[in-house]
Parts: sequence; structure tokens; C-alpha cells
Amino acid sequence: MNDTQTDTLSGYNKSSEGKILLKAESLERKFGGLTAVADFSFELHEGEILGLIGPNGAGKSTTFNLISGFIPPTSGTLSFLDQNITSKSATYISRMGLIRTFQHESLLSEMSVADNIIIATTHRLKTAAARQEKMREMAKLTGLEDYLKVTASSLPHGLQRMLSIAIALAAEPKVLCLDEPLTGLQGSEVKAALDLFEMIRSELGITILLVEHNMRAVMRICDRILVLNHGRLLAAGTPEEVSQNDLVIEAYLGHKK
Amino acid sequence: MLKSNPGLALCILIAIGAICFALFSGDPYYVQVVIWVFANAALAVTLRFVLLIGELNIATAAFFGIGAYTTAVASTILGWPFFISLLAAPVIAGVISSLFGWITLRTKGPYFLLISFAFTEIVRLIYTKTEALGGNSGMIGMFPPMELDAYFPAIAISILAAILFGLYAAERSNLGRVFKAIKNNEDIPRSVGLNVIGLKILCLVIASTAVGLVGGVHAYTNSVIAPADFTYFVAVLALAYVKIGGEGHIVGPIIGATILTLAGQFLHSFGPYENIFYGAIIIGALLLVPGGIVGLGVRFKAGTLMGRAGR
Amino acid sequence: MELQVQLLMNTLQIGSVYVLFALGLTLIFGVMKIVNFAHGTFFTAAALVVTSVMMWSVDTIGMPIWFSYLIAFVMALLVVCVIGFVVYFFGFKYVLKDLNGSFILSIGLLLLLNGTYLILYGGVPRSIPAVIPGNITILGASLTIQRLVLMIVAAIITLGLYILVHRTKLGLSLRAVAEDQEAAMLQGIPYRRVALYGFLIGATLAACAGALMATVTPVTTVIGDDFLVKAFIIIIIGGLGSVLGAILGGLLIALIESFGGYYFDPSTATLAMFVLVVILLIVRPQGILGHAEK
Repeated sequence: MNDTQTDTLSGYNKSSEGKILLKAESLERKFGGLTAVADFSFELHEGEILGLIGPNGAGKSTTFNLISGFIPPTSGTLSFLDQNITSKSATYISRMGLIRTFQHESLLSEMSVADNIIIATTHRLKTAAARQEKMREMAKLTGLEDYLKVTASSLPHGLQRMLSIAIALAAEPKVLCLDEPLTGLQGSEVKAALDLFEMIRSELGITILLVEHNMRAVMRICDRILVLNHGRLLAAGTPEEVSQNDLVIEAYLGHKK
Repeated sequence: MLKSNPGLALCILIAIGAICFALFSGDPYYVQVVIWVFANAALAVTLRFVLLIGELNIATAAFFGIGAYTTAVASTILGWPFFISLLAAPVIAGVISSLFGWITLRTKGPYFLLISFAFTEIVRLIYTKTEALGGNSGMIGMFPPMELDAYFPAIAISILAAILFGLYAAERSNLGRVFKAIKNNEDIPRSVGLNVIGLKILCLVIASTAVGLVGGVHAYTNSVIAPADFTYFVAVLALAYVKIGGEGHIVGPIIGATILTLAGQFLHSFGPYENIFYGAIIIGALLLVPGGIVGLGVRFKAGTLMGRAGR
Repeated sequence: MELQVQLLMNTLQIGSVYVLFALGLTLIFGVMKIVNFAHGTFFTAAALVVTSVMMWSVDTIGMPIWFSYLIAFVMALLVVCVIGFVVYFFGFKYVLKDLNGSFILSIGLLLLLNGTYLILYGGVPRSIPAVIPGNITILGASLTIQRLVLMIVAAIITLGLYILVHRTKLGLSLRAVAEDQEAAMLQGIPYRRVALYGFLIGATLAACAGALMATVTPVTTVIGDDFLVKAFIIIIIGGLGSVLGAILGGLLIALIESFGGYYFDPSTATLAMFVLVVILLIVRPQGILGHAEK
């Protein structure tokens, strides 16, 4: 028990096969006197779905902002595809293929569904025809093909979530970071979304980092899970390991359930 | 393309009509009014172009002035030929605006608004304190060459019309879509690999280059320029044109500029009442007709369509 | 030494007026998230009321000057409050937190009010007689007592505002609304009423500045506009919405204007302010004391 604990606490999983795509070492971020994330290390392996969970205010969103370059870390290093990306701009990191979604305001609310997706193709594709084709492909994948001319803000909530994923996919990610993509979805929509994530991983070959509150969904779909609490890594491991971890049950599941 | 866009075809016809009017009309006053209408429309459209990324750029007035002074210096002090002097205006305005944008577009909203305002007033201060630029009394003597003199109004209108169509094309392109995305929620374009700051600077530079050229045309049209022509008030009037005509479509500012420029011809004799009139019209348009004339048109169209559907 | 003290006195005197003016602007921004380009018209209105009232009461009735000034001061504040109330209810109320809309509205008001002042008042500058005559010598530098009193009064008003914002319940509401309007509303703070109070306090501060300034300079119908550019530079430097930033920024700009204007010339001093803004933007885009905007 003690042995596995130290092993998993480092966040490294020796059993994973895929090569390391994203690696964080001793990541730390302070806002004024408040430490949002501290001494957080983990690795994301090619082809996996890695869950990042924790109670509200645990530092999940900050972590997303750090790895996607939206805010710089106070200390620690980040590397992506064997390249040091610490303090690189969000533009630079997203061009390398690490694409994130947003929990709130995740769309271009005043623009059409088609325009939302086309914007995301702009950097990679240079002709209007190629962008149109990519846009249609992504819309079809996410079930939006009948809504192309609809203004994003007037889509039903579930489809808005799908649109934010379509935007991210249109930017051709290697790693897709999803920030609470299931929030507010109905039962059947959750199932469809999870199937979509599986498909994104298996058919598009995209590695996924998933922040999510829906514990059942996380347990079902993730290969490994990192648990954050008060900005620190509390536990890491397979869904079974994490769900049996006393610290996790005490800090998170205990309150939650 | 023109078949699918009758509005654009109509605008091209109007522009050609205006150019022909300038070529064949005998009355220089009316030709002058037509040039003013086009110049004001171009000012309003360039101001609106930066509104695409959500920023209110008072420095439109500054780059208008920088263009005018550049042409004035090139033609009267350096003695450069007509077209080169004219083209120097957008180049210099573009270069200065890229530097200005690089520094100021790290901020947005109220900060950018205030800085662009302060920049405009300070550039004007520099003119008044620079002897070589004529100080407070400004510069005189920008004339098109003799052989072009008769055609100058037509040339001026052609250039101004080209600016309007050019900015329309830019807005309709993918670049225009990206600008609107930045205004809507700049985190999204940033998260999919777009360099948001760079694109904002690009938007500002395109608009400033265009308005610099308008300034160059202004210098030759007026033959006299002074610092007082380039206060922040130029941008305020441009904004009034945008608001009256409507922000939603590029023809909005063009309609607004046309109406207010023509109305202004009658108002010049009213002294302080002129400002009261402009003030009242700006407030009235903002509070009573938020979408401007274009917005009214859209609402009217939607209303009739709904009426039909109802029946 | 004498010269430096003189320039420093000058700094404090200009600075005290700048601070009052910029405080009003920054307070209105903080609470309503708008930039009030018509702020100078409050200043102008107060100065115009002071000269008009004093011309009548001193010349026509023969009231003592100091008493006449006190009455004029109070009337100036009342008139500006009424103007502020009217423009809030028929205008700003509809553009709360709408930056572009409020800009347009305030520019419209600027044109409308300045035009009206010109018609009512004419274009000739007018001065009022000295309210408190006499000079005083401080560390070898000579100063009219009037200017000294102006500084002291401005400092008291600034201190009063600081206490109001940081020590009273209304101040707490103002700060809460400025920090996060929605959270403030959730805690039961009536946003619209607080916005109105903030706006009126801001207008009153500009009126105080205008009424004080009327004692030391000739009054025209555009006197307030001259302060606008500098006030903007002050609040860019100090951070929009920051009370302390407006105070420090106002004094800094006055310092540059006073010393730079003497050792170089006034336009060099103004350029220096702009260079300062540019450097600040590169280093710290949100102002010295401003919060980073998300």
C-alpha cells in the first residue's frame, strides 16, 4: 500500500505504454498570496484518456490555463512533444497541437455554427474550400450538420457543448483538453458524448485530458485519473486504484456522495 | 458575384456615377461636396473597421492627420511627385500605426479608448510645436500638378471609393470573420492557434493605412491643413456617422456620413447650434435607434417577413 | 531652493485640482464601467455658476466677497448635481457597463452642454475678484493665500472621499459594485442606486474642482475640456477605478507639468507624460495600481 502510494503520488505511471506527449514538473501557480496549484507533476501518454478530478477550487481550471499557455506558471516546467513550452504563448502551444476547450463562454456566441468551426481551421488550412470541407466534416462528427447557419447562442445547451468540441477538433489537435464537457448534459447526451470521446481517441488517434465533475463518466472512460485537492496532487492511478484510495474517499468522494 | 449581390452592384454604380459627375459637372461646389461625402464615409468606415475587433479607435483622427501631414511634407517640402506624395501617406500612417498598435493593443476596452484619445491629442500638439510643420497655422500649397488638375476630383473620388470597396472585401474575407471572432470572444481564436494580438495589430494597421490615404487625399483636396483639423473630434463625427447609419453593416456608416455631411452643409451658419444639433442627434440615435438606419431597415424587413408568415 | 519650493507649491496646486477631477472620473468608471467624456462639462458648469453668481451678488448687491463665494460654491454644487441627475436618468442609466454606448452618449452630452454654455454665457473669459487677498511666504517661495487655501480645501475633499470610500457603508457598496457587480447584487446591494450615487459623487468632485479653479483662473465655456486629456493620462497611469491611483497619478502628472514646464517647456512636459504612459503600458498594461483585467 505504502509502496503504490509513493509511486502514484509522483503522478507517473510506469505501466503506460505510449510515449510521453505532455509532461509537467513541479508546476506551481500563485495569485497574490493564494496558491492555486503547487508542486504538481504528471505525464500524459500518447493514446490515453487521462482524467483530472477534484473538488471545486482544487486547481483544475488553473492547471488547464497553465498547460494551454493562457497563464504562465509561477514556477515549474512544462514540456510538450519533447519541447519546453513553459511560458510559451497560448497561440504557440495551440499551434503545436495542444487544444483546450473552455468551461464557460466556450463559443463564439454571436456567430453561426459554421463560422465557429471555420475560425478553428483558419490557422491550418489556407483555402476557403479546404476550410469548408473540414468544417462540414467536424459538424457531421458532432451532429451539428443541420445547424450550420444557426447562431451559436441559440443552440440547445447539449449542442453548444458539442460545438465547443467541434471547434477544438477542427484545429487538428494531438492532445485535446476538455474542460467539464459534460456539465448540464442529459443522460442520453452524456452517453453520446462519451462515445464521441472514445471515437476521437480510437479513430482520430487524439490523446485526451479530461476535467470533469461527473464521477461515473470519468470512472468509465478514463484510463488513469489524477486527483487534485487544494492545488496539490492527492492521488493518481487507474479508476479502481483512485476510487479505493482512502485519501480520495475522504477528501472528495466522501463529501460528494 | 455581382448577380448574387445586387446591393454591391448598386454601390459600384453609384461610385461610377459620382466619378462621372466629378468629370463632367460644371459646378465645383457640388463636386467638392461629393468628395466630402466620400471622405467622411471613408473615415467612418475605417473607424468601424477597428470596431470589428471591438475597439473604439479615436486615433483614427490621428492617422488621418498623419496621412495629411505626410502628403503635405512630401509635396511641399520634399517636392515629391503627386502620386508618390499621395502614396507616402498610407505608408507612414501604416508604419506608425503598427508601432502604436504593438504598444497599445496589449490593453483593450477603456484603456485602449483613452490611450488612442491621448495619442490623438498629443500628435496634434506635436504639429503645433513643430516649426517645420507650420506650427499652429499648419501647411499650405498642396496642389495636384496642372495637367491633372481637371481630373483631380475624379481621382480623389476613385481613390476614396476604392478604399470603401477594399475594406468591404477585407471584411467579407476570412480575415474579417477572424476579426469578428476576436470581438466576440478572443479566447476561442487564441485557443485554436491564432495570434490574437498580431491580428488585432493587423486590423488597426489596415484601417490606419486606409485612413492615412484619406488624409493624403484630404491634403490635396483642401490645399491647406492645420492641427485644428485633426482633433479627436474627427473620430467623434466618424462615430456619429457610424451610429446614425448603423454599425451592423458597412453601408451603415456610408449612409450616415452622406446624410450628416449633406445636413452639415446647411448647419455651418448656425454657430454653437451646430454642435447642439450634432450632440442631440448622437444622443437621440443612441437611445432611440440603437441599430441606426441599417438596423431599422433590418427590423422593417423582418417585420414584413413576419407579417407575411402570419398571414 | 526657492525655485524648487515654488515649483513644488505649483505642483501641489495644479495637482490638487487634477486629483479631484480624476477622482470623479475614476469613481464613475469603477462603479458604472463607463468613461465619461462629458466629465469636463461638470467642471465647467461649476466654474460658470461661480462667476455668474458672484458677478451678480458682489457687483449688484454688494455682498462681501467671501460670503458671496460660499453661496456661489454651494449653488455650483447644486446645479451640477441637478445636471448630473438629469443626464443620469435620461442617458447614462441606459448605457451602464456599455463602453462604446456610454462614450457616444457622453460625447453627445459634451457637444450639447458645451453648445448650451456658449449660448448662455458667451465666449468671453471672465474672472472673479480675489476671495482671500494677500500673499504668504513658505521657505522663501511666495504664494497667494488663495492658492494655499485651494490646496487645503482640495486635500480635505480628497481625504473626505477617501474616508467615504473606505470607511462608510456607502463606500463599501461602491467598492463591492466596482469589484464585482453581480456578486454585489447577490449580496443585496441595489446596483442602480449605488451607480447613481457614484455618478453624483463623481460629478460633485468635478464641480468642487471647477468651483475652486474659478478662483485662480479666468473661466471660459471650455475650461473643463483642457483637464480631460490630462485626467485620462492620470487614470491610465493610476489604473482605472483606483482611488489611490488617481491621487498619486494626479500629483505625478502635476509634478511633470510643473518642473518639466519650467526646465523645458510645457509641450515637452506633455510629451513626457505620454512617454511615461507608453513605458508603463509596456511594463504594466493595467496601470500602477490597477487590477489585471481578465
